[in-house]
Amino acid sequence: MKMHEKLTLNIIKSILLELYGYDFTHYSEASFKRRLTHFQTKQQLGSLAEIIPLLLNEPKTFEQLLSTISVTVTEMFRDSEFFHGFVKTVIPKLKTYPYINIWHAGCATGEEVYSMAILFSEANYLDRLQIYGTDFNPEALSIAKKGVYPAELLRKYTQNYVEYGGKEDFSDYFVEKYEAIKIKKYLQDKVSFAKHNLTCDNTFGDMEVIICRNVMIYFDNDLKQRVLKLFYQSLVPYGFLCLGDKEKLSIPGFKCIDRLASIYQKIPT
Amino acid sequence: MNNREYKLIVLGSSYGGIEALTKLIPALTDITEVPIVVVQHFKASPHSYLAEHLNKLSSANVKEAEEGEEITEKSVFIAPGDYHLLIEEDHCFSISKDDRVEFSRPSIDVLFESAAEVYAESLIAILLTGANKDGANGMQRVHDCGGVCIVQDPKDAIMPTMPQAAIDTVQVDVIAPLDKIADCVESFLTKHVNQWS
Repeated sequence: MKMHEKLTLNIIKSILLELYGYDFTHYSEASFKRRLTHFQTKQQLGSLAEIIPLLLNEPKTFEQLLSTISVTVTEMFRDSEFFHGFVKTVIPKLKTYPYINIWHAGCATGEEVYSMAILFSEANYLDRLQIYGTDFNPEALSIAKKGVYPAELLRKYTQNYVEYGGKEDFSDYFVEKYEAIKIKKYLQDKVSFAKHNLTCDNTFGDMEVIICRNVMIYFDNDLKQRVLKLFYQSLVPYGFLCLGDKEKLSIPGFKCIDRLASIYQKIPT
Repeated sequence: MNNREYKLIVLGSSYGGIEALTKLIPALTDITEVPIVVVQHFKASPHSYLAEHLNKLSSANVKEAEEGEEITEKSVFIAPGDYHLLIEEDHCFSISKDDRVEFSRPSIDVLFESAAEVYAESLIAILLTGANKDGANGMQRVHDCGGVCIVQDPKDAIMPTMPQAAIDTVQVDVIAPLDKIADCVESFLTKHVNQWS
């Protein structure tokens, strides 16, 4: 990378950290730059450096930038292997638990959080369940909280659900209205959302399950270690950690119990 | 004048690519130890059959690229399904679940652009057969950063759309039929060697 480009990226990172409290210094440089370039094109700016004065002078630019660089597109029941593995490996082990607290870290717009609520509903565990979805992007969280998605996505979601092995009528989990689908209230009642930034915020107490799929792929090793420690401290003994399918980590304190679905279990020392 | 040393070959292919890679990867690994990174569009699968298949045919080690893995010589790395593959400054891979580019994930553009940033003029990029336009923007970046752009002759490709899109977009260095591409890479690599010998 050319010197001036590197400097520009570093200045933008400094502004994001010093002025807005968002730390991107431990992010994948290649992905960060790609997303910034995408933002530059969207805003019709001539260069990355033109982002600097906008960020300094207009908080609105920050909000738009954060949305562009933090957004991960997600779907309900995406990656059938994972949901299949979760139902096979984790759900039976939770049978005797009086409470099941789940922390979904980096939940973006919430689709996967609601998919989990549906899984637990089908296992008849709903009365013992509480899911906490967190993300560092307030705009994504406000979509997650509403639980409303475009109706045209229902077909794709249903297809994913069937691929995973779902047996129910998937549309029963939604209320359909004005070309939108809304998650039914009994599912939504089991879910709450909060802002949490993995780069700087603290533990999220006594969780039986933590789901953080394809979030740490953007982090460097230092930040990964920090987050894994955070997860270790947040889990109950023998709690479960679910990662993305390509996140094959050898993690001290965790044992891999389903390689294909990338599910780990905390082994207390 | 050509006194540069090539440190990486990136390769993109789509429709018809498996057949093309089956010919090209063994030919390339016979002539060079320079690492090769491949994006082949295919439906996501938890297991890289393509890497296994090519590994049997090649003298180099062919494997699926892993997050954080360092790029080493005598190796061919295949992008994992349903992730973009990028190269970081420290010559290690990173992966991403960002939006599809030209309907594709992994995207050739994403790999080529990030490789061009890091390897600049020591990069050779090769684009083969395909039915979409992925790779054209990536080739442009490779060219802008001083790397070599080699495109399969659209007349020779199973699907001409992808190589043609690159030719229409970028001033490519070479247009060649598939069975001449390894020779062509070799001539780029040895020009350097000749100068020092």
